[in-house]
Amino acid sequence: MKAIKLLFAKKNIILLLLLFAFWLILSPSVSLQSVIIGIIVSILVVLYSQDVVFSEEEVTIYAISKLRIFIRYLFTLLWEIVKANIDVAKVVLSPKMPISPSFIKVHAVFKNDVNKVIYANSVTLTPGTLTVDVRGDEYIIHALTDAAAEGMDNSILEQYVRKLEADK
Amino acid sequence: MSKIAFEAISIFLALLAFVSLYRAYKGPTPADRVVAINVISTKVTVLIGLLAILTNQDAFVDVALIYAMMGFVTTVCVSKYMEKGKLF
Amino acid sequence: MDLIQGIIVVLLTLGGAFFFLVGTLGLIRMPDVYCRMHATTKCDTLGAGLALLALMVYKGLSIVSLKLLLVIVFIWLTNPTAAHIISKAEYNKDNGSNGDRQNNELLS
Repeated sequence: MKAIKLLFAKKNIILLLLLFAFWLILSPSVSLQSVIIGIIVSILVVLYSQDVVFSEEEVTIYAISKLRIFIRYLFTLLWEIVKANIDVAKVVLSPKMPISPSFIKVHAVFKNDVNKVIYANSVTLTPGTLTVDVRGDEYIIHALTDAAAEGMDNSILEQYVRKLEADK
Repeated sequence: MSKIAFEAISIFLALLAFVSLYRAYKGPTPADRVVAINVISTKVTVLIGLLAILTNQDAFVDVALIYAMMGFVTTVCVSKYMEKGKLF
Repeated sequence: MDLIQGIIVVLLTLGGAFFFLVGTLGLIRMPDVYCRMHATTKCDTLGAGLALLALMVYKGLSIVSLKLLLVIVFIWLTNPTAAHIISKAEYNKDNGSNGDRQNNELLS
């Protein structure tokens, strides 16, 4: 009985809906047959990937209130990416290439793994920095210029990830 | 006008893929080669998307999606092998 | 209306081509692996996004646009992750992997 209740957990329902939407987008025409096959295949995939999917405490984005912050975060990230690209374009196209590469260690504590992943990925996409490795709470970051290395602590994206993690 | 732009960028991307291939051939470390191959696979993904629109074959877009996934899995496998000397 | 759409498509395509060019130039010119990765991850991500966005504008609202959007989302998710994995492999090969992982391998 407990196993059946576990199957109807929020994470499984969301995964099922996502997989089914993906199937509908990929299928050429929507007919009864394709819908039924899609539902069966989605349920099978959800059953098969039980030990792989994130647990509910790990994914804070599932809550509706967090979704709004997440969308604002996405727009900030887009702007940062555009800035980063112009930065790299300047460095690459200038004939002398003003770079001074160095490794720095950044200490940032996040409670769950998904937020760690979001933070590491956004560090990679922001100007002049690249996440190399995560060891516990230490992020080893490769910085292209000195200015990028100094701008790392308490950046705007870190504040957003903190907001995502904060209690409701 | 749009079709000409798409044709131009297709040719341009194919040329850039060959330029990236130089790094894959020359690269002093294995990581250089993996980076170059990753770049080429991103370019090919975009190229397949462009071809799908240029030839009016909408099914090619699915191919682009799958190609992006395969490129990612390839990169993960090769890097893991580089780091540990085995896959599992 | 067609003219505006055409202009937007051409501008987006030019932007995509420019960023792809910058990424490839960075791949050739930069002095070591990590710096090369800086150039390729950022520029390829935005270049692919802009080029595919041009295709989406050209196609308008249709199922093909939705699929192209999926391709963009997928590239934007996987490109930083791939860079992270490659640089981690290179870093651990140079500096020796961390102690507990070696111990784990010896134990298992």
